[in-house]
Amino acid sequence: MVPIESVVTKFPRMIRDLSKKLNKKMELYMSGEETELDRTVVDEIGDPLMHLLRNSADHGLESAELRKERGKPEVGSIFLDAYQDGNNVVIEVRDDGNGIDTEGVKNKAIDRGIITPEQAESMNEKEIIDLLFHAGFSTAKVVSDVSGRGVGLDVVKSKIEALSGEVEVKSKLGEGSTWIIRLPLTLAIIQALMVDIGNEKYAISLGSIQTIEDISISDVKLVQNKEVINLRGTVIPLIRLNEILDIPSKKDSQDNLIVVIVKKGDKQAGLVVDELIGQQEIVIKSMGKYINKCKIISGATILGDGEVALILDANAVI
Amino acid sequence: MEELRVAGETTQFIVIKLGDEQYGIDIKYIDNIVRMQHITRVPKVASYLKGVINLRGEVIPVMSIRIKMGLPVDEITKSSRIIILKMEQQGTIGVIVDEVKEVVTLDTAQIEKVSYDSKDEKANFISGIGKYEGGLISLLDLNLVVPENA
Repeated sequence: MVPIESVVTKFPRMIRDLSKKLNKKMELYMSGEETELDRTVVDEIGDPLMHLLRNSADHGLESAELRKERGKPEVGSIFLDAYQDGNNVVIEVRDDGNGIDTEGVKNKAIDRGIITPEQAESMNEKEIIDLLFHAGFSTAKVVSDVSGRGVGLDVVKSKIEALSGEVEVKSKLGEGSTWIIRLPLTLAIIQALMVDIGNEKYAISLGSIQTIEDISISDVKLVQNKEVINLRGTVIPLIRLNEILDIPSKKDSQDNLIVVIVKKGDKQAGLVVDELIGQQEIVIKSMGKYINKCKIISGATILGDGEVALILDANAVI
Repeated sequence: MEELRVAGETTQFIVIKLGDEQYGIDIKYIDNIVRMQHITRVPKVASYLKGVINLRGEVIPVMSIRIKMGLPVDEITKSSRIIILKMEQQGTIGVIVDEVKEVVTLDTAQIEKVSYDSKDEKANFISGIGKYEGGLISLLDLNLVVPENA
C-alpha cells in the first residue's frame, strides 16, 4: 500500500505549464494525497489522471473572456480529490469550466459515423456522455499538442477497467464537469470493526461506521412495521444483521441492543450486532468469482487464528 | 471427458466415498486434498455452497457434493476430506467427501458409458462407470457437479 502522493505531486507543475501553454489562468487544488492504494494500481493510475487533468484544462475550462462573460472568476479551478469510500478508493477530477456540450458531442458522433441521427434521437444524456469514451473521439475543434490526438478517453477508460475500476462522468453545461474514478481496494488493508453475530464473526469497514450505540429495547419504535430508533433527533432504521444473514441469534431477549451506526452518503442505518470484538487491521481477500451472488459480503479476510471472517458491505446493507 | 473414448488411453482417478457408493474424480482436476477444517458460512448463497475456507492464505469456496446430488447431508467424520479442485471455468473450489480411498488407473475398456434416464437427477452428474477389481466406480463429470455459476 502506497499513498497516491507519489503520482499526484507532479500535477501542480504540469498544470502551471499547461496554463502558460494554453494561455488560460487556472489553479489546481488537491486533497486526499495520503489516500492509499495498492502499489500496482498507483503505478498505473498516473497516466489516466494526467489525461483527465489535461482534458479539464484544455476542453473544460473556458477562455478568460468567456469566463468573465459568464460571471465566473477569471482563474479556472481544477480539483483533484481522492478519498476512500467503503471498499473503494474514489478519485475525482473536477473543473468549474464549460461542462460537456452534449449537443456538440452528439453532432460530432454523427459526423464521425459512430452513431446514426436516428440513434442520437433516442439517446439520453448519459449515453451521449458515454460516447466520449468511444475510440477515436475528440471534441476539441482544434487539435493542439495538449490534447486532441484521438487517443483519448477510451484509453483512460480501458486502463481503469483493467484495474477493475470504473469511470463515471457528471457534467452540467456551463458549470463544469466531474470525472469520478472508482477503484476497488482489492489486496488492500483496511481498518475494520470485528463483531460477533450469533456464532459467526464479521468485519465492518471502519470507514463506513459513524458511532456505536447502546440502545435500550424500549427505545426501538416501529414505523411502517420497520424498526427504527430516534438517535439524537435523527430517525435511523434498524437492521437486524442476524436476520439478513440468516444466523440464529444467541441472545433472544436482551434489554439492550448494540447498534453500529453506518452511513452511506447521507443515509444512515443501525446494524444490530450481538457482540463487539474490537478494531483490527484486515487484509481484504477476494472470495473468487464463484461466490459472487452475495451482495452484502464484499470479501473475506483471514484472522490471526487462521479462521476466515467475512467482510460486510455496509453500503449494500443500506 | 472426451479423451476417455480414445482407444487404449488410460486415465487416473481418485476414488472417493459418498455414503456407500464409490465415486471417481479425474486426477487432472485435483489440486490438493486437505483435512476437514472450519468452514465459514457465507449467507445468501445456494445451499450446496457450504462456505469458504482458508487454504494457506487463500480464501476458497467449498461445496457439498452430497447436497448438490440430492444425497443426505454430510456427516463430518474423521475421514472426511476436502478435495481442492482446479477447474478452468470455475476456478479453485473445494468439495467435501466422506473418504478418500485410493488412486486407480482405468483404461477405456474399463469405462462404461452410462445411458441415463434424464429424469434422474443423480445420474446426470456421472460421465461413466469404471470397473475396477470387481467393484464399480461412478465417474463424476465435474463440469456438471460444479456449475459454472453458483
